[in-house]
Amino acid sequence: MARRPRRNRNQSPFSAPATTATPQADSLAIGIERLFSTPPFNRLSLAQVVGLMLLLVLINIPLVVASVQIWQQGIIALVVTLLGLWLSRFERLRGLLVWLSLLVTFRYLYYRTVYTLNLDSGPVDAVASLLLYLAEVYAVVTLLVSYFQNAYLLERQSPPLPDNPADLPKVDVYIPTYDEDVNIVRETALGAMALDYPRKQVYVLDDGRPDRYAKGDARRTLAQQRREQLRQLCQELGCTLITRNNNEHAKAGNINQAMAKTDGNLILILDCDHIPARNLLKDTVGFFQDRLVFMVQTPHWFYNPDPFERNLLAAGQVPPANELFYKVIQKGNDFWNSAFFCGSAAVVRRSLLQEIGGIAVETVTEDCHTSLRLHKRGYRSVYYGKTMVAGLAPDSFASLVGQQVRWARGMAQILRLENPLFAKGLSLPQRICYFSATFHFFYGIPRIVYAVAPVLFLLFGINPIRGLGLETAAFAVPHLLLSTAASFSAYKRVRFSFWSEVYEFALAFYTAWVTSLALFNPKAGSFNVTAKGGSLKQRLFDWQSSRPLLLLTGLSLLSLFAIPFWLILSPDAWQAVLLNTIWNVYNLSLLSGALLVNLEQPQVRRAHRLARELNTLIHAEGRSWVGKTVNISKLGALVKLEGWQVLPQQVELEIFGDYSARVSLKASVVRVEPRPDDNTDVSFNFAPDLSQLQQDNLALVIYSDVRQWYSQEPKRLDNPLHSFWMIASTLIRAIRDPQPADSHRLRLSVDAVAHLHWPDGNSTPARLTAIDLNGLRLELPPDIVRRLELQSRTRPILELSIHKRAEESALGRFIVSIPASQFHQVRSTARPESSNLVTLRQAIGVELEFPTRLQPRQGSHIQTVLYQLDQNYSPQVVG
Amino acid sequence: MSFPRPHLRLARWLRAQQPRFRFRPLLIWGCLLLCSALAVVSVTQASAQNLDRSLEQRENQIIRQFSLPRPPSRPPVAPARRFAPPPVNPRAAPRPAEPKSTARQPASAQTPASAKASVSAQAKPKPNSSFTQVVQFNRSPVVGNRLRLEGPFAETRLAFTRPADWNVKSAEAVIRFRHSTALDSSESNLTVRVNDTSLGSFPLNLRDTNIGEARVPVPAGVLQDANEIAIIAQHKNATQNCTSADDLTLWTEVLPDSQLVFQYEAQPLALDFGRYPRPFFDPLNLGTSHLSYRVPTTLDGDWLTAAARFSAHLGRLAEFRPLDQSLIRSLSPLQSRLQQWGSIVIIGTPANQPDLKNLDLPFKLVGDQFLDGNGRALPPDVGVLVATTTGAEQYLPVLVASGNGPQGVAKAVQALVQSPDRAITTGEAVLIDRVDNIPTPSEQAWPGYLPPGNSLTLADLGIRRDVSLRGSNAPPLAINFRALPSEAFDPRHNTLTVRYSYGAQLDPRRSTIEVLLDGVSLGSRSLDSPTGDSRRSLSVTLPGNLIQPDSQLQIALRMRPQSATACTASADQQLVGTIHTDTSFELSRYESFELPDLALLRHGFPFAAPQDLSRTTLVLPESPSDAELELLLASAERLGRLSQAASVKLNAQTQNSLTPQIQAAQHLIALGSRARFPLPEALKANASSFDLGSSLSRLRGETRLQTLPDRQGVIAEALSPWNRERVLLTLTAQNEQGLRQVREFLRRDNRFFQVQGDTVLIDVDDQIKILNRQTPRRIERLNWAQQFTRFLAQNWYLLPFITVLSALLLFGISHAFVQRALPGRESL
Repeated sequence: MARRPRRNRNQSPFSAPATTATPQADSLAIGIERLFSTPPFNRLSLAQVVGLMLLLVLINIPLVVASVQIWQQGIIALVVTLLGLWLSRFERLRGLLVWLSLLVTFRYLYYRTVYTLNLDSGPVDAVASLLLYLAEVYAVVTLLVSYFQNAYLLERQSPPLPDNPADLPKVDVYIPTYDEDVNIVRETALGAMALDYPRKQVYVLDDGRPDRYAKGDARRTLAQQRREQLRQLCQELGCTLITRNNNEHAKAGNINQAMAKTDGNLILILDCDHIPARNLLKDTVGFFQDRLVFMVQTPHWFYNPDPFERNLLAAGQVPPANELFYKVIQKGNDFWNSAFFCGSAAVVRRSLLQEIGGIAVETVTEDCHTSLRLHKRGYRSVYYGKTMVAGLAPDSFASLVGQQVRWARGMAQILRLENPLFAKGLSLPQRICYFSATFHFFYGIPRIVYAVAPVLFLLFGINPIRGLGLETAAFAVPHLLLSTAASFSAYKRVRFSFWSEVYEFALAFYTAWVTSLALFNPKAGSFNVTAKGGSLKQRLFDWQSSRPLLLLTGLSLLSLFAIPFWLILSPDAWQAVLLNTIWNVYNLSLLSGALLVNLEQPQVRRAHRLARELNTLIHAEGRSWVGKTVNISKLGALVKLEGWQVLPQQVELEIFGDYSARVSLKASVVRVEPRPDDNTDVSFNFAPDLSQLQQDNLALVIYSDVRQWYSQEPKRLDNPLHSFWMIASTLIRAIRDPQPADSHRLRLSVDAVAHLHWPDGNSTPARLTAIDLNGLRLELPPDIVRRLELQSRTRPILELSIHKRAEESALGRFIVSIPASQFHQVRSTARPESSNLVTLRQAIGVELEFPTRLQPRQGSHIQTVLYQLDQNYSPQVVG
Repeated sequence: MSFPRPHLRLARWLRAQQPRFRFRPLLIWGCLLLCSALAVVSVTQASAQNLDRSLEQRENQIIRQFSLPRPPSRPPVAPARRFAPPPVNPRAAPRPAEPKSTARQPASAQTPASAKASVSAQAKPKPNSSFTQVVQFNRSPVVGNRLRLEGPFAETRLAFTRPADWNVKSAEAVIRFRHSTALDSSESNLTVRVNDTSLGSFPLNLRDTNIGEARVPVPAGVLQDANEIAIIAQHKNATQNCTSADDLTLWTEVLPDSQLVFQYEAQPLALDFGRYPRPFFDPLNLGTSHLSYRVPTTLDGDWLTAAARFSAHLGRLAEFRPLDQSLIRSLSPLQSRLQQWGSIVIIGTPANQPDLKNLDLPFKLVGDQFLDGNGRALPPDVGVLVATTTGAEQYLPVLVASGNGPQGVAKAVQALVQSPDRAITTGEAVLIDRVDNIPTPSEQAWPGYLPPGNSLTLADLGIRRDVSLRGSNAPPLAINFRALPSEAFDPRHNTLTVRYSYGAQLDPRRSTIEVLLDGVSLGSRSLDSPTGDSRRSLSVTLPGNLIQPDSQLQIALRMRPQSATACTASADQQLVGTIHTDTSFELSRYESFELPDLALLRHGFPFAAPQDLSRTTLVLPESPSDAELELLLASAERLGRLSQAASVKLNAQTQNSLTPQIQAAQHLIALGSRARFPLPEALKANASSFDLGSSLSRLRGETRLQTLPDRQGVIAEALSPWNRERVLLTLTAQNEQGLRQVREFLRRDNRFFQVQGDTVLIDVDDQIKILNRQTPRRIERLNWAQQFTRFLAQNWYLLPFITVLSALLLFGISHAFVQRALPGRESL
């Protein structure tokens, strides 16, 4: 098989696929690559290359330890940093930047170790100094392993499948559920059934046993109902429901137990809210032609904003939190054959899984643990980077905390129980990658230490860094900036600058607690299911759990007030004070962001909109319009139409998926937005009474019939300054109430005459200035307006005839309603002040509507009148 | 992907090789058999040839138990001197002792005094007559022309010794002083103490800065071998109620012509090697000690080596005391010259030293052979050491280092110069059968300098107990922090961590601990706890470029009392601080020096590395002249003074006996007048060097001039033409007068320690001219990483470029790595 990816073989290592490289950077990178592809380098074996690299690293020791004067170090720092920042523009040269960053990092670490440990100024200083030092060592170690992990991002292409369906392996699709809403399961099961693969069988593995509740418990009845619904669902859709009579080992136990009952060669595991795209199996099964492959993992992707995006009001402006892992880290892991199982959206080989006794049950991150065991046996994993499932992110920060805490605990458990660094059977890179994965979750304590350190100095005069000053800065700044630049270069599409810090600050206290606990007692802790699919109506601040963070933020804020005292009382410590102040302000910005994550923002939309471009037909009044959805949810869609269009209130929509799925349903126009590019954006709400078939088809169209998810190619690029500003300015945005977008009514602007026919038989002519399918606008003298107002209070219906000109015959007679609310506005806004009296006397605009109930009878008639009034049919925004 | 496993491959290879070694046991047995057969054959042949010799050896081993002659009934003594002490070198003078509160050096390590009134005391020689010796204060380089006592309490100390052959009858300290007119005469006084015994106090009540004179009799019983005279002034200001420590009007000047006057009788000294080096050399001597070497009839390398070693050994014993070594050709000179001879040293076999026959020796001399008590000749490799006397009334001590063969003579000298062997000698005569070969110390082991290693504690520097400093004016703890002349220090990576404690009652705002290196303050911290604190530590960085071979580190505790007023100076004894012995040093040192550099010669480098001088050879012309021999003795003596080891392994050769091996392996000191210079190639002029041309002409580069007369001596150092790691030191002159200039230069500390550059021209009138004629070569023993680090530190501007270059290389290599590792992953 071995179809080579289309990747350029000469492309630089240590880089993501180049897209923005400039000619100079390219020629430099190509030059270097070519140099190392010529003799004698091309004759070296892999081992020799590794040896050569180690030798080169050793030769660099003097670069790290060479001691120079402060000003000299300052100049060195400046030159190297500027160069590094310049290099960060070229992805292809990221490897160079990484090595440069490593060199300055080690130079800093050496300086920090040799000169700045404050161990002899008393025990308090010594403890603070050691803690900060260890925290920095943690940071350097994670930086190191992350550079290693992301040395090369493997972009895989899907291998072709055999043509004969009989040669295909049989695939079982598992959808483990616990107590989730049946509707959520339904969509996933639908998606699974719609998978484009001939030899598959879908199983719903329900762990929501009614008998886990005592008899008489109301929840037992609910669970029984739910189980029954699931049974019907499976019957209806053609999948198999598998249940068991205990809940041992939660999800892992559920899958293991199901494995004994099914017989597919491969198993696709889907979380119950992960709706698979149609091609999921077609794209992944081909990898299993290599007999050693035990798993193909695909990315998880959430179509709703995660709590960070939502609560920091950054949805759509920053990449979601898990993007970094699935777009970069797993690809890097894959290069080192250590991409690991993430619990869902992965196809695994049953025989190999059974070889190790099924999914691991000893830790709460059973997925990673399972792949560790299989890797130890020499099997291979594949990470296929195409997004193939759409899922739901935790909808509140609290549930995200639950999820993260579980991961942190599980990873710490793995580190403790089966330390990947010393595990037998793993290759060195695998050890490093697994170590990185597990060690990452220990960020809690270092993060807290970073926040506390400047506070200690400013408030209590405890100095964790001896001789903190410009010299320290001269060593630290290149380290910080270059490592940031190297990360920027690799992550600029998937993780914006400083957001990692916010994530870590927000979760620091939780993960610090569980990881420490898990280190001492790795057996503790059970599996908790991440709650999803809920929705929040109001702002809510979680005072209880954010107390530690509040305290930290308060201290940081307080320490700013100590600065003037420092400057007055010990002005000679200005360097230390300056650096601590900068550090503290930086911390404070991030802390404020982290704190605001705890402020749960209400969800504006009732259903999450997906930015999908689906072909849509709109039928109404015997006419059809062609459009493309801009975004769509289960409740409505935003459709882009060519030209400025006037649509009736009620329409019939026909929406087509990327392949064959389609749905046809009724919808009403909610909002019309004429665009300057001569398009019209129309918001539709789907009719509330959709049939089950319509709902199913809609779900398939939205979530399953997908050629490529729009999130596959991120469009936004990181801009560090903007990113920092976004975090720092969260507070300003967070306190503003979200406002729904304004609707603009598209009408024909005309100059015609309308006659109002009063109930008493009289008629009054009026000037007709604007009209559309829903209503019209008249300009009337004030006395007539007053009469209309009176009429609106008693019987808000009136007959009206429309004439193109005063002397011509009527084009049509219509019943209109008089909305009473407009007269209040008139009165409150236009007070009869002397200067305005004249204008008021002349003419006042009044809106009249065609009643919705009469739409079927009047609708086509109105349409005809519109064409007669304006041959060009060019609607405009009026009023 | 799979990583290759080199160790597995190696194991496989070894397994594959195994069959070839299957016959290994057979092979080994075969070799063993062959070897033993060869050994048997050779042994039988050799035994036939060497039968006689082995017999003789066995016989010798039996004879080794020599019977000694009957010891004399009365222990022999060197009779008391009959002369007044000769006038001593006027420059040698007493020095003030170290302040008492710091680590005190032994009091004997003080320079003897000069005699001012020696002329008056030059009485006619008469038996057991008493002599007068006057020791003046003013010759000490520290006293110079002033010895000032300042402040409310001031104390100064001077040390002096009592020569071994003195029987002091009486002594008197004559203190001449002048003091401030502001003193309150009733409460200001001057106290004289000798060896902590107060001998007298005098009110400071002179008017109008008149000169006062206080005569303090010193009881003979108070005096010991090493003595200390302390002069303590207590001052009080007459016009103020209380006395400020900073009051500049509180002073007393002890005038430099103050003196110690001794009345003594000379007493005889036992001729016993147990008391060696007495009577030949007295370390307590106040004046210059004289030694005369009897020149043998034939001068060869053996004698030169033995004499050089002995001279170096004497130099070590003398340390900084003046020593005068001269040569004599006969033991029967005029009476008047006898007193200039001092002790006489006779080195050589009886055949070479005919004067031995005329001495009263415990061993019989028959023919040219020493006989033992049974009348059998001693074997030629047995050394004989005898202490005896000669002269008109047998008052000149004579040291005989002899034997029936040159090896015996060498052993006799070696037994004296090796301190462990010297310690076990006793009696009037010693036969030396075997001498232990003391291993050469490492080049880095320099006693008195920093010991090897990068982590040191105070105990390693000789301070083995905690040191407490007391009082507000406590003098700092001084630590000799002498870098090896051959080493350099990293500019930054040297830290000193002082562990200290301090007591209560000091003013935290004004009290500090301070660390100074050669007076340069390196760091300080306030003693900030008013209740005292213990086991604090202060880390300071020692700047590498400031650490020199003569550096001194000072840890000062500047303690001020809490309620400080002008009058509390007396209430400061509660202020106490302690420096603990776990005060530690972390050094980053490496070998780095430039050659030639005569400034390093001040510390003996490179000739004294290793310290037993075993890598140095003195080269003389054939049949050297007296001036050349005296220069040899002076050079060896200087090297001895500059080094310290259990043994002396200095070599001396004549021009013809110098082998190419020695030439290449050793540092050479070539001495001789220009015409007879033993290594003429070293004198050859080249474009940039200075040289003496033929007689009366000089060359320097292209310059050529003739001088008349040329009495200058020349000391020049150059890299050895036979080995670029060794140096050649040239001591030469156009004539003998010039050579004597060189000798004087070497002998006198104050001149020798001015040496620098690579060439020194020494004039008659103590003037020296320093030339730098060669570009010195830096010799560094660094590993590549240290060299690279140093290079980077010196060329810091290269650092960013090298960093980028290095990153580029690593980038390229990692590209190569990915290219090899990628196919394995992609081919899935």
